[in-house]
Amino acid sequence: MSDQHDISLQALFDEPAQIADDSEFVVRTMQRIDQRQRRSLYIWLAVSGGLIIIASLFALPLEIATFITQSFTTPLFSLGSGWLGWLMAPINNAGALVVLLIRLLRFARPKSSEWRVSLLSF
Amino acid sequence: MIITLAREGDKDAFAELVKRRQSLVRHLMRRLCSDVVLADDLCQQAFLQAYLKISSLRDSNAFGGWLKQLTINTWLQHCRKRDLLQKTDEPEDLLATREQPGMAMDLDAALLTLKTSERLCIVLSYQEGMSHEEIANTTELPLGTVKSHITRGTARLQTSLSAYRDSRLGGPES
Repeated sequence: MSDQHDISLQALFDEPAQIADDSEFVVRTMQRIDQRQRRSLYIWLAVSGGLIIIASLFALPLEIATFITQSFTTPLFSLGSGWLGWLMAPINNAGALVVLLIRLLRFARPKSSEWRVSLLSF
Repeated sequence: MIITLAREGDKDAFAELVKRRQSLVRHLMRRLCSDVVLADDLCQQAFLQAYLKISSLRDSNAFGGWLKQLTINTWLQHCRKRDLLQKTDEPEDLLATREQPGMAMDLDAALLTLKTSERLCIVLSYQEGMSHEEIANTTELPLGTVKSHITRGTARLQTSLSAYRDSRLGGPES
């Protein structure tokens, strides 16, 4: 200890501690440790349970999405696995049919509105 | 041997460590905070931290210093939560003391008249025998601040304790 100390003050600090060994303190401390461990276990269980619930909630939508994706790639006409089948693959499926229907609907919509405008002006 | 067992997760060994070290830890904490109940509560927190972290302790011989560091950290966390270290106001007790300069005070009561950061530095310096550099490293206070806290705190304690010392020694100190 290199720092200068006030001697009389140091003497007061050096007086022996008057805290008796307290077995109750030890018991309370160990109880607190047990409580903390139990709480950690409960938190771990709650987080695990929550993750399982979230996974099960997301499982059904994921299955539906997978089913739709697989359905869209199903060929409409059986053209075999030859060069014609490979060539027509991008348009020979349910997805292509859906895209085609959407394009047709979007193409038809302006015409119907034009028809409505002409009907109103008449 | 007990520390090694406690590191391996033996709860009974750790309970024995608490039993053996409680007096030192509680004495330090009671010096740092005035409230005996709060001091014991913080000591339990320190022992809890020790239990959770003891597996990371590499050297069993360093257990004493390590536990002291945990105790100080627990106190510092408590102070930071309540902004006690940042407060620059003088404690009310000090003002009361100044109004009654002749009143005898024991060391614990006199320590209460210091600001929290001053008390921390004084206790670590006088009771724990830590150097200014060690206190600065432990408390993360600048070295200059630690030195001024100890100088100012010592002067305040001398003033507060002069009547107490006189009453103990049976007359004024020369």
